[in-house]
Amino acid sequence: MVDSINRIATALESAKVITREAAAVATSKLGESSYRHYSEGIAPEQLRELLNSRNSREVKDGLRRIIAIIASGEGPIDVETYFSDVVKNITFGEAKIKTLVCIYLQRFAESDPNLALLSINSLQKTLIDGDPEIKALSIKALADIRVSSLHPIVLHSLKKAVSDSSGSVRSEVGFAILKLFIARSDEFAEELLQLLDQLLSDADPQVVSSAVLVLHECFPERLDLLHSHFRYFCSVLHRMDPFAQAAVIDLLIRYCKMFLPRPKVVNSSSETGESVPLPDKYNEILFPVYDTEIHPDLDLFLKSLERLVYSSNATVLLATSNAFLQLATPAQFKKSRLPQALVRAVSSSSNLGVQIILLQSICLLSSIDPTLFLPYVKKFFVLPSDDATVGSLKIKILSILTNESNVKFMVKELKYIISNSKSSALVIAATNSLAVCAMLSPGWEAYIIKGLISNMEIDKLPTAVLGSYVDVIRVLVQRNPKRHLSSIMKLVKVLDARKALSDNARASVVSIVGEIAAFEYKICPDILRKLAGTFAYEGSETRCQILLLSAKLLSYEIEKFKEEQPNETYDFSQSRIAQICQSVVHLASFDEDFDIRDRARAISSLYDTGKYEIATLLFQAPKPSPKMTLINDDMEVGDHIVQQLGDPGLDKFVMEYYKMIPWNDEESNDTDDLRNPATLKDYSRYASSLSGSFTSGSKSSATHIKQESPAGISHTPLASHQGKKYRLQTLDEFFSDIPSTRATKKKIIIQEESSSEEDESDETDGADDGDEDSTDQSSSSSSSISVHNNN
Amino acid sequence: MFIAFYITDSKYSLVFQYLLSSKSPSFEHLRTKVQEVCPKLMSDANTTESGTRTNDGNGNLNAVRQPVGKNLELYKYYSSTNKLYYFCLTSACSSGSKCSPFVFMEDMDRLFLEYFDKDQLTASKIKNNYDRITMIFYVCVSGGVPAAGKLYSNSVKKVVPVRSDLSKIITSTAHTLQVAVQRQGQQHGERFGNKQSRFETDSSLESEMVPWRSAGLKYTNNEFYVDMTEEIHVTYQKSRKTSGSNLRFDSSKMTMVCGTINGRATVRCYLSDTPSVELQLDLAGNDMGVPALHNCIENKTDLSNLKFIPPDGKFSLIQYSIDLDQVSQSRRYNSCVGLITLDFKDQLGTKKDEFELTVNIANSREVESIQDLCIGLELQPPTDNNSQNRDTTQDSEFKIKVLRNTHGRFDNSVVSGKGAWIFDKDTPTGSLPVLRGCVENSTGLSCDAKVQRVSLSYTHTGQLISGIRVKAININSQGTTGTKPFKGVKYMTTTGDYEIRS
Repeated sequence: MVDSINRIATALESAKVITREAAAVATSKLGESSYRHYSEGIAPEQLRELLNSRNSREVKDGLRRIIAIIASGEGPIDVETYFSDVVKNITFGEAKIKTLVCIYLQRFAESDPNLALLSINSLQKTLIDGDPEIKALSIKALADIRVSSLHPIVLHSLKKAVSDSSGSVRSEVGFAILKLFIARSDEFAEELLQLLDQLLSDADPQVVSSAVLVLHECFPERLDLLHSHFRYFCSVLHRMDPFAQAAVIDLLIRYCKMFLPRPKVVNSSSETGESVPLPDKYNEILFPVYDTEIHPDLDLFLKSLERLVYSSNATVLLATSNAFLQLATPAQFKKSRLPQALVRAVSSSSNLGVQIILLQSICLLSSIDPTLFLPYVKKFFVLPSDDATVGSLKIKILSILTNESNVKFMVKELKYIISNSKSSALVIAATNSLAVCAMLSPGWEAYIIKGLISNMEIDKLPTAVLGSYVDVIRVLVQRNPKRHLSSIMKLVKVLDARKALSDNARASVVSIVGEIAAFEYKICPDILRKLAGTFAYEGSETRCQILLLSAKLLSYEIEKFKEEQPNETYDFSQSRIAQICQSVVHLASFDEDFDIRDRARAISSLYDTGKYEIATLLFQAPKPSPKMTLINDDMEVGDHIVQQLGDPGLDKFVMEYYKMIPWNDEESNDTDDLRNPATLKDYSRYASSLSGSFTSGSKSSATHIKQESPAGISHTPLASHQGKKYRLQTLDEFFSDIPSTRATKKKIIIQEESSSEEDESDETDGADDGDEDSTDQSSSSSSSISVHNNN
Repeated sequence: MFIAFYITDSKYSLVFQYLLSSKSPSFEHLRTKVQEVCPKLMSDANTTESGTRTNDGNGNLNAVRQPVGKNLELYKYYSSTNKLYYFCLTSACSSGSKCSPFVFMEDMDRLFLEYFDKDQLTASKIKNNYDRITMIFYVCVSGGVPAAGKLYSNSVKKVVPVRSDLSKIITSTAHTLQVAVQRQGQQHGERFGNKQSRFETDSSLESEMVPWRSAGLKYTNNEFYVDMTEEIHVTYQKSRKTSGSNLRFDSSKMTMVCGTINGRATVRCYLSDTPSVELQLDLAGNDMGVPALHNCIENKTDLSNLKFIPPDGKFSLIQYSIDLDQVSQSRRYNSCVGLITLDFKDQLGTKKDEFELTVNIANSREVESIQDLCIGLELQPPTDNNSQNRDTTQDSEFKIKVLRNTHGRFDNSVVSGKGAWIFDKDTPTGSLPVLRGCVENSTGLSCDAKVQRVSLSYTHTGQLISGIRVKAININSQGTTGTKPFKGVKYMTTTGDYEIRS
C-alpha cells in the first residue's frame, strides 16, 4: 500500500518536472527574460543535440546559446569544442542561422582552419543566391575567414561580385578587399587595386563610401587614383556615409595639395590688384581685404565641403575644419560657418572623448587664428556640469581668446572660477589663464597679482593650488620686479605666516626674493635672517633656495664693500651676512640631500678661497624672464603649440592631424583634363531595367534628393529612360561594364548629355522611370542570371 | 582598426563583448592588462573623486583613451542615458583625428535604442538579446572599420529582423492592445512572405530610394510623432550691493553671464511606403545657428521648412543650439529664461542670518505643471574676523534651518552650507513658492547668511523655452491607400545648468 503510494508520488513528481520543463519552453516564447532563463539552462550535451537537430528552431536555440556564451565571456562551456556542430549548420536556408554561423566562423575559423574549410562550399553556393543580402553576407563571411589557402578563392569570387547588380553586394566587396589586403597585401595588392578602382567609379554613393574607406586604409599614398574621380566625389560627398566622408576629405586634401595649383590671394583694397600665392602659414596674409583666386576644382571641393557643416558626426566636422585650414584663407574659413558648427558640436555632445578632441582642435585653431572663435567666446565659459578635463580645456581656450576688449569679463569669470570651483584642476587652469590676461597691460598685471595674493592670505587652499598661485605670481613679478616690490613683500609675509605652504611654492618665493636683491638689497638680509632660523624645518627645494639666497646676498655684500673700499679685504667675521651665510652653509653641509651638500661645499670653497668674481658671475647672473607666450614663434605652422604654465599642452595627435601639408609647387604638366570624370558604373539601373519587378507604389518621391550635378560630370546611365530605347540598348548594357566596349558606350553618353538635367540628376529617379516601362519584363531571377553571363 | 568592443555596466563588470577575431583579447584579459597599465580607465574613482581632487584635468584625452600594450589603444565612452560604458579596443594608428572610435561607439549606442525602439537600454535587455546585439555589431563592423552605409537602423533591421514579442506589445503604452495585435499579425505575414518568395524580397530591395529607408513598409496605423526637447544652460549674475543693510530688499538686477539652449527634435515615424514629409517650424525669431541635421534633410539652408524622406522608426532629425549671448538674442533673455523666475534675498532679519528664496512660476496656457522642480542652494561660509578660530574648528559646521516654506521640503546636504529645496512631483504653474530660512552654526548661534549660488532644475512639457513650435507637418504619401496619418507633436523643456551667482 505504502509502496504504491510512493510509486504514485514519484510518478507525480516526474510529471511535475516534465510540465515544468514544458512550461519553461512555452514561456520562453513569450518573454525575453524567460527565454534567457531557459537558454542558460541548456546543458552541454543538450546543446550538441540542439545543434545537430534538423529542426531550425532547435538549431537556432543552440546557436543563440553559443553566441550568448561568447558574448558574455563566461560560462562553463568551451564553445570551440562545438566547431563542427556549429559550422555544418551553414547549410540551413534561414538567414539568421547563417548569420550566427558566420559570426562564429569569424571568431574561430583561424583556430581550426581545416574544419572551417567545410563551410566554404556552401558559402560559395550562396554567392549565386538571388537575394543580395545573402550574397553580401557570404562575401563578408568568406573574407572574414582568415585561412591563407582560401584567399585566392575569395579573390576570384570578388572579381565576379564586383559587378553585381546590388549595391550592398558591391560595398561588401569593398570591405572584402580590405580584409584580403590585411591578410595578403604583398601578393594581391595589384589585383585588389584594380578591383578597388572599379568600385571607386560606382554610381551608388554607398559603394563609393566603402571604397574610399578602403582606399584610405590600404592605399593612402595612391592619390593618382583619384584623378578621374575627383569631381564625382565632390558632387556626391554629402551623400556618402559620415565615416567615409572623413576619409575622403583626408584623401582629397592631400590630393589638392599635390595636384592642384596653390590659390592666389588678391589684394582687393588696392587698385592694382596685386596678388601673392597663399602663404604656407595659415594666418599670414598681409592684405586687410582680399579675394582669392582658386582653381575651379579646388573651389568645387570647398563648395561641397560647405554642405557638411550640418553634419552631426564630429569626425566629419574635424576633417572639414582641417580642409579649410589647409586649403583656404581665413576669410573662407569664417564664411563657411564651420567655427559655429564646431562650437555647437561641443555644447550638444555628451560624449566626453568627442568633446575633448573638439575642444583641443578649437584650442589649436584659435591659437592659429583667434578671430575664428572670438564671436563664441562665451560658449567656453565653464558650466557647473562640465567635466574637469573639458573645463580646463575651455579655460585654456578662453586664455587664447583674451584680448583688450574682452579681458574685463574674462578676468571676472576666471576669478569666479578660482574663488568658487571645487575642482583644483579647474582652479589651477584658471590661475594660469589669469596670468595670460595679466600680460595684456600693467594695470591688469597689478590687479591680478594683488587679487591672487589676497586670495592666498584668506583662503585655505589645497597645496597644489597654492603652488600654482605662487608660480603665476613669480612669473608675473619676474617680468618687472621693481614694479611689484610691495607684492613681493606681501608674499614674504605669507611665507612667514603660512607654514603649511608646499615646498616648491616656498622655494619659488625665496627665489623671487633673490631676484629683488639686485636693486632692493636692504630688505633682503632680514628675510634671510628669518629663513635661516627655520632652515632645518624647510623642504629640500626651499633649503636649496635659502642656501642660494644666502650665497647671493653675500656676493652682493662683498661687491658693495669692494666698491666702497677697494683696497680693504672683506672681513667675514665682521659681517652679519657672512655669518648667516656661514651658518646656513654649515647646516647645509650636513643635509640629507646630496645636491644641497654639494652646493654648500662649492659655495664655501668659493668664498674661502676668495674667488669673489666667480661668485659674482655665478650668483648675480641675470635670469631670463620666463616666457608666457601662448604660441611659440619658432614652431612651424600646424605645430602652433599651445604652451602654458605647468601644462603638458595638447595631445600630440591633434597637432599632427592639423599639421600643414606643403603645397606641391612644382610646375606640373598635368592639365585639367586629368580630372575629367571617368564613366560611372551604374549597375543598379541595369539590374532594375531588366528585372523590373517593382510595385507601383514605390515610384513616389525619389526626386527629393536632387543632386546638384556639376557640369563636369557625365552620368552614363546604362538603362534607358524611355521604353522604346530599351530594346536598342540591351546588348550595350550587357557589355557596358567591360572597359573594352568604348565605341558603343560613347553613343550612350551623347544621348544622355543631350537629355535634360533632371535625368542626370538622380539615378534612382531614372531607375524608377526605367522600371515603370519594364514591368512586363519582370522575373527577378533574370537579373542574377544576366550578371553571371556578364562575367 | 577596431579589434574588439566591450560593454560594461557602471561598475565595470562585463555585460557584452564582441571580439572580431580569435586574437582579440577577452574582457578578462583586457581588464587585468588595464589594471596593470592604466587602472584609472576602469575605476570609478577617476570620474568622481580624483577628477576634482588631483591635478587630473589638464586637458588631454587620458581620461577616456589609453594605450594598452604595444600598438593597442583602448577608448572609453560613457552612455549617460543607458548608464553603460562602452570600450573599443583598436590598433594604434598615427594618423587621423582619433575621433572615430568615440563617434562610432556613440552611434552604436544610439542604434541600439533605435533598433529596440526604447528610451533606455538596460544591461538585462542586452543580456536577453546577446544574439541580436552580436548580429548588429556584425553588420556594423566590417574588416575592422565601420561598415559605411550600414549604420542606419533600417539596414540593421533588414539583416536582424525586429522581434515583436508579446511582452513588448503589452508594455507598449503608445498603442492599444488591439492595434498592436493587428500589427503583429501583419508583420508576421510580411516576414512569412519574404521567406516564401524571393521575388518580393528583391523588389523591396531594388526599389530603395534612400539608404536610410527600406522599401515596402506597411503600417495599418500611419503615425508620425515629433518630440521637441530643449535644454537650458544659463548662468546669471545677480548684482550685489556691497553696502549691505536694507539695500538688499531692492530687487537687484540679474544679468546673463552666458547662455545656450540646446534643442533636439526626435521623430518617431511609422508610415507606410516612402512618403515625403514637410515639417514647418515657427522659429519665433530664434537663430538656430548651424544645426546638425539628419542626412535625410534636403534643403539644409531653410530651417523653418524641413523636407525629408524619413527613416523608419525613431531617429534624431535635428540638433540645434541657440546662442543666447548674441546681441539680438540676449535682449530677449536677459532677465529670465523660461517660465520660472528665481530670486533670492540674503542677510535679512535683525541678525542678518536669514535668507529668502522666491520662485515665480508664470502662468501658461500650454503648461499645466512643472515636474521635478528642485532648487539647489549654496551659502558662503560665514566669514569670521577672528582668524585663529577659522584655523582650528574650521567653517564646516553650520546649518540651514527652514523658517517657513510654502511648497516642498528642504534637504540639508552632507556638505555644510549646501541644501536643496525639493518640490513635489508636480507644481502647478501660476504659483509663487517662497522659502525663508536662517543659518546657524554648530553651537546654535546665528551667523551671516550670504548666498553664493542658486541652481535650478525642472522639467515641463507643452512648451519649448525658446518658443519654437511646429507649425505644420505635411505628409505626402503618394498613391497609397493607407489610413490618414496620425501626427503628434510633443514639447519638453529641461534644465541643464541653470545657475544664479551672487
